[in-house]
Amino acid sequence: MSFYFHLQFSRIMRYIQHLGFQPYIGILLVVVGFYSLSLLLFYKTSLAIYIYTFIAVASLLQFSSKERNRFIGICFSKKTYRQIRILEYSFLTIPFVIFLVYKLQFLVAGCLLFSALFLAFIRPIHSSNLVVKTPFYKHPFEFLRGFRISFPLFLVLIILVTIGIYVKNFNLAAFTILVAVMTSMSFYSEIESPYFVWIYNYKSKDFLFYKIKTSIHYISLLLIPFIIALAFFYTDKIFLLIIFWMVACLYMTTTIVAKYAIYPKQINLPMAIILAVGYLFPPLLLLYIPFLFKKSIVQLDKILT
Amino acid sequence: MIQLHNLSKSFGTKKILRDISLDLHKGKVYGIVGENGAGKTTLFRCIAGLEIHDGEVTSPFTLLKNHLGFLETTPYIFTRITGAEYLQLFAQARKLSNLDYREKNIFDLPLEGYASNYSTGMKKKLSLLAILIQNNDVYILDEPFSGVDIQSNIVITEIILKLKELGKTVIISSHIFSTLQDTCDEIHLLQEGQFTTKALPEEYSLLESEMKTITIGNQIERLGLV
Repeated sequence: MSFYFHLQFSRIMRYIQHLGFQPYIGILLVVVGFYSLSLLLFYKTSLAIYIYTFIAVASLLQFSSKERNRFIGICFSKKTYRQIRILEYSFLTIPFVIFLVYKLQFLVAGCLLFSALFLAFIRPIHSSNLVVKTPFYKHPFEFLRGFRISFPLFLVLIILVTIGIYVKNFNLAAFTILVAVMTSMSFYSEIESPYFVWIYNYKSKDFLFYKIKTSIHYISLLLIPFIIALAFFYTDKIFLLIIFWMVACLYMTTTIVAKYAIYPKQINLPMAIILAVGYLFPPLLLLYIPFLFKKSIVQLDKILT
Repeated sequence: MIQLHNLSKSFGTKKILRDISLDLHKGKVYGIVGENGAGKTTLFRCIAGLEIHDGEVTSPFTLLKNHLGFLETTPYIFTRITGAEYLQLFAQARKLSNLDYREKNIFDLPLEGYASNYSTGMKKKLSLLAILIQNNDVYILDEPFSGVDIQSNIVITEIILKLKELGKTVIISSHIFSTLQDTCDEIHLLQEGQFTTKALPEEYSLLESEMKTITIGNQIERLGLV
């Protein structure tokens, strides 16, 4: 088992090196960046505790893929497999727990730790053959698969928005919109093989417009039920809800142009930090988008023309 | 006619392809054979424009890639996408719409199920179907027969012959020599990044024995089986 963790550590070091940092400096930057962003989040919004918990749980789900667990299950005995899962989940949760304890959120920190241990004991569900019907079938790619992967989360969000309306907590309801948007942005996080860009008979500019148009169309389709429900019960907040929708469209556009600006590479740490700043101050995105759009064209031209 | 002129490709200091030149005509099927690592897939990716390379690939099309269907050795299938949606993705990429995928499903694939749950052979057939519905002028088929059942091998052979009849240009690689014999107008042996032998149909058996000698040599004896 120690070799397994040694291997994981080596992989992280190589990954950081690949991003262009000296590994230990990279780790230091990650730690400083993580706690700085945590502080900024709690400083910026009253929804921070919800967002923080959501991010923590979403991070845990990274370790839940069926293939990954099957591989570890094949390599190790049942007991070692269980130990690996517990340790991995604990390692990932501890930074969040430390910060929550610092913020005196003992109950949330405890629940998070308990959830991590609980999740470590759940065997990932075998991939189902049940095809989830979605309204995103016309352009069967990022949104379609993303929605199918995360659709249980959307069921939870519907429950949360209903509770938010019922207990007259607009913040909770608004939080569900934020989670829906963040989840939708994650649909575009996977870097597809250049082959799946190459197949398009589009010019780079048209390809980007097609991707952006599809994402705005689908994020609007996804948010409409939430926005209509909230607008009905919070008539005084309609203007705010429209702004939410516009910001969601900006977020989606930025996510796409940022992805293709360095395609086929993954977004590196400095760029992630710059983007995070933009997401926190959305007007900045209006400056980012044209710049990243131009860079995307350069990258896509290498494949499409 | 598509012309490959002095095509070369290196990864770092390692030369994968060395000055490959070849003319590819309409209505002809070209076979490329060679052992693993000889550079077949790299050559295909260079022709497709998926790899930056030295030398030239010229074609009568403004952009060859928009007329080219490329079947990869191991097609990547995204999770949570049905077979029908996969076909739709490929059709949309070429701005085709209103296609009847069920009608075109000659391999009887379960198109309503998730394609990632298909077997290896089914994934290959789905990917082949995806590039066929695009109605391309040129096809590059990297190992189209591997992992596919015998019945489908027969169907794929017939498809290749049909493409030839329709005046399409087809380039295929295969480790199953007999499938190439049935379909190809000429076969090229790729060794260490260079074409070393060109064989016309009447020379195929000679090429096969040559490949056997090169590939096997005395290696089986080295196993010391008793």
